[in-house]
Amino acid sequence: MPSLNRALRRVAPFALVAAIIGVLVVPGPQSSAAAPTDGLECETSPSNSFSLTASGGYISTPDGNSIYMWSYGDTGGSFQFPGPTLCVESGANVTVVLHNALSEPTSIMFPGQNKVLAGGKPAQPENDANGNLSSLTTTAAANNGSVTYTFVAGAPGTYLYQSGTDVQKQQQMGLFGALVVRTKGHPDQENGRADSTFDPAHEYLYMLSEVDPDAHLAVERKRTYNWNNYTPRYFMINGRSMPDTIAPNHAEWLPNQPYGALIHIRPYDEQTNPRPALIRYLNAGTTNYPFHPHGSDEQLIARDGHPAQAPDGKDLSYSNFLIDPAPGQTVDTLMTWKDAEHWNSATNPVPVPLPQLQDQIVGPGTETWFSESPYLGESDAQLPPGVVQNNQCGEYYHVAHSHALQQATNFGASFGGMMTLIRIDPPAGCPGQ
Amino acid sequence: MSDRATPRGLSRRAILAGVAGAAGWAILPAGSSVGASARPRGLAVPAEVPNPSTEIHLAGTDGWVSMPGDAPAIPPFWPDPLARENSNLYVFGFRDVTGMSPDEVTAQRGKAQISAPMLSFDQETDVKITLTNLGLSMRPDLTDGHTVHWHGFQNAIPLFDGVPELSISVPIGRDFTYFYRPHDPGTYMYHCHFEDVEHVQMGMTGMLFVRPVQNDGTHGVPAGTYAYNCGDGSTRYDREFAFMMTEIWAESHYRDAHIQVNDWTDFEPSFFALNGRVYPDTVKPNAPDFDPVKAGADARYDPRLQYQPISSLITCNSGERVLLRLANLGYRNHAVTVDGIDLTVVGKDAGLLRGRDGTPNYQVTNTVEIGPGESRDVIFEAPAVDRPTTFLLYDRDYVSLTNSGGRGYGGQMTEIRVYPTGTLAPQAGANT
Amino acid sequence: MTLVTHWSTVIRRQAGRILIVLLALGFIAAVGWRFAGSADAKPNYAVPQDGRLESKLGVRITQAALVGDGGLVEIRYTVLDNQRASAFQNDVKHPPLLKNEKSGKQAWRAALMKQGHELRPGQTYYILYLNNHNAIKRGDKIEISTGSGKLAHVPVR
Repeated sequence: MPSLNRALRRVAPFALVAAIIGVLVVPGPQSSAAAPTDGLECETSPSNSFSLTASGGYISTPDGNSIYMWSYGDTGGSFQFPGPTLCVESGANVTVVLHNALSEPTSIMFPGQNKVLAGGKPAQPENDANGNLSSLTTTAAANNGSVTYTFVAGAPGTYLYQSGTDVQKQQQMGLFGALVVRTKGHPDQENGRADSTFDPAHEYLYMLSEVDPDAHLAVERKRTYNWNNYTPRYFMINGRSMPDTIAPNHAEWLPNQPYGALIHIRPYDEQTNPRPALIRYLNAGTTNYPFHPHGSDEQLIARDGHPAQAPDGKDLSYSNFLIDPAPGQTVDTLMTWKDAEHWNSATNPVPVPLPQLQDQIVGPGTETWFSESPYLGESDAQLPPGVVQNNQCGEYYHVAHSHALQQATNFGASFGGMMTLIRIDPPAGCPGQ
Repeated sequence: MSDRATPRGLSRRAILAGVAGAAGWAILPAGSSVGASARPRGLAVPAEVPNPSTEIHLAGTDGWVSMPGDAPAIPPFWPDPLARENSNLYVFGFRDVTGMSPDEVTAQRGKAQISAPMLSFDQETDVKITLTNLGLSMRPDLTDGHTVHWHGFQNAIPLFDGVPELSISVPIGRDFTYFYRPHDPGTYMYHCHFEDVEHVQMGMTGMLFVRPVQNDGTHGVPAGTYAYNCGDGSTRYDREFAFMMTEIWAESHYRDAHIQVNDWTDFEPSFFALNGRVYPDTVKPNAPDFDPVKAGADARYDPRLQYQPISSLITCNSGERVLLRLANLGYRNHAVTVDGIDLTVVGKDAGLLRGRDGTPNYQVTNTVEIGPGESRDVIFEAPAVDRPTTFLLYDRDYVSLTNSGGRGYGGQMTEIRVYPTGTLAPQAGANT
Repeated sequence: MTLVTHWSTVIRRQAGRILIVLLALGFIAAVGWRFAGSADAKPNYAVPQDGRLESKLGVRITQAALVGDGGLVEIRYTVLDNQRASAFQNDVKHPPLLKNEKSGKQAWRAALMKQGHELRPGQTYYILYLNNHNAIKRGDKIEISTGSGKLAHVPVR
């Protein structure tokens, strides 16, 4: 049939071109938006269906350690810690299929979501043959079992999803992730209140957790571990410790820890930058993480998916220089940094002498990291003689960290652990960025 | 202790100019510039600003303090065999050296106190805090810098935030002046941020509060003392008492004195302090300012507490409104409770507890939870009594109510002594 | 004249078929790129090693990376000999300088972190630099010069 063959040959290139475009354009069954270098990265699905696999893998710590973890990853994708940040709209019918690649049963709980079904029936605690509680919710069997959870996404807000099985061990091993429920019709509001409006380009996730490497080594080597000896040594935001927290999302040296924690904003301005950043705190650990952002307060607007409001809808949000989420709790805050004094080297100079280099500690260890100029965004040409600006573009950096200060270390080494930076660019932005 | 009301006017400033300015610089050794070209001093000319101003001079150094001697020993760490007379615990800390001559400042080396000098400023005042690093008398091998981090200062710029890794720290023998123009009244704290897990644990922590502009009576409420610009008098108080809550891991203090290294993730505190003292020392009176001669001679003062000058005893008359300023710079959460008196929490983290639309969000409670790095402003009305009556204020986390795990009561506990109306004279300053 | 057909003629005659083959390969590549995990695409990263410099400094440089959204440069090093490494960290007069080998621009303002009183052998620590006026970009090669010598061609990721 040469004529058909010829016709096929004529059509085929067009079909293939279309197919290639289709593959590139049409989203997969679950997809991440074009990966931003920092900020919250959503995994979304047009059908609100997600397929996660619980499996083992390795993460690295900044001090050179490699830790065996369990985590949820996209089925068919690579291991990642923490689990993907699932984003759905309030009221959506959500399906999460859990595949279990671990050698023991596991599960997912969705605290804050009501009427969760497992395999079409209400998800229920499980008991072993002796009648003892063996899981807080319906499990996927060990070694390639699976279970399908469905629920209707509840109120807008931030939620954990986490293992409900052998919880002390499986939580510590890393089986948790974030569920973000977005406000229907208002993707730029944390919840239904207009005063929860934020700048969607500046939305951040702080998934807080800790690791006792001895417990992980015991699990990796299938040894028993005495949990009375539990002593955490690594403290993490989004599965990373400082300075990995300030590395970009999907940094190539952190293949299994895709989420960074750098905050990158510009000063508040009523005209040009009126909307605050949104930070979603999740405590996935078993102790409080008292988190202290330097430089500016944050307004606590919601906790556990509930807006801070009175029964009559009046605002009960409040300002904090320390956010102290309890285990399992989530807290959402709005943050801005205002240029309160507008220091300007020519018209409004800082009213104290600037330090000379020898009056700062630049050793042992050049401890300081001062740009030499306190003037936001001023270039060398603008600064008076002798003052230089050694930053990229005169930006500011503030630190944000756990104030249980032993948690702001990498195994005791300071300026590490549960810590990240807040970068404040000049009002006009940072040229060359 | 020094609860400094902000001096109005310029006379004090004029007096201090020579001390915190020129004389402060005079103790500096000639340094060498590293990495960049030398530049002239005093690049920025002080701006002409209409605000009142105040200047404070702090010194950072090490020293020795005392925990109660009847607490069980923690061999070999506590009591520390290297300790001076009347002391048993090695610390780092601040001293208020405002107005001292350079020689007097230098003489404060090795005389750190815990908790740090209590600082208070009026809102919209230009504040200059000069920090001099006197070095560590016990550890000449260490070249640690020190900084002042005004914890919670809103819209800070890095230069004055005191995080060495992000701005600067002050090397031994030098000083640096921080500038603040506080716009937000409330209860803050300050601490050194140099290797903060160590320097905070070692004792470089103190209370700091900002008094609201409405105190002057021009903002719709009568002149008086208020915690915030509440506009309705709901944060008015007659007496105020501030509490810096810390935890002391004796083992780490010993290691710092004995040139050993700590793994800070092993943190396991042995003493739990209010203003640098543990119960029953908390109820003893304030020690006089930095005068060991006076302290030694006056039987009212315990020479053991010479470098822990701040009392936590609360005294008030029936019916008076008492403001408790609580701040926690330990590494654990605590729960401050008072039996028999209702507490109204009016502020958190130097913020009045009201929604953005003004909705009141005060909480009436008997237990105030407070996490590391948090502050709370709590007001209570002293109950009517016809004779002196004692109430206890303590940490409901009972682990924090012992001294090194010993028998009896210790740790974060103090007394509220309520007297019949008119017994006590008006309060002279916080914690008096 | 030979009967051998020139290759260009073949291509011209078979253009349709070749196009289909190429497009089919393109389709496979697109599918692979779109749906495969990103781990496969990880390029090799290696920092040049200089044994003499390492023995002098007591540290091995293991990474140069652009962080803080391009505002900071992170140098990571593993401690081989803690005594020499401490000397390296305490060598105030010669903090390591970073020089962009392409442009010659330098990043020198460092926070040479003293992350505690003691450096542990085998443990990795880091130094952060302000990225002076965009001196260093991802993909550049830099020269790290110390008081004890230089390490050239360190790739920045």
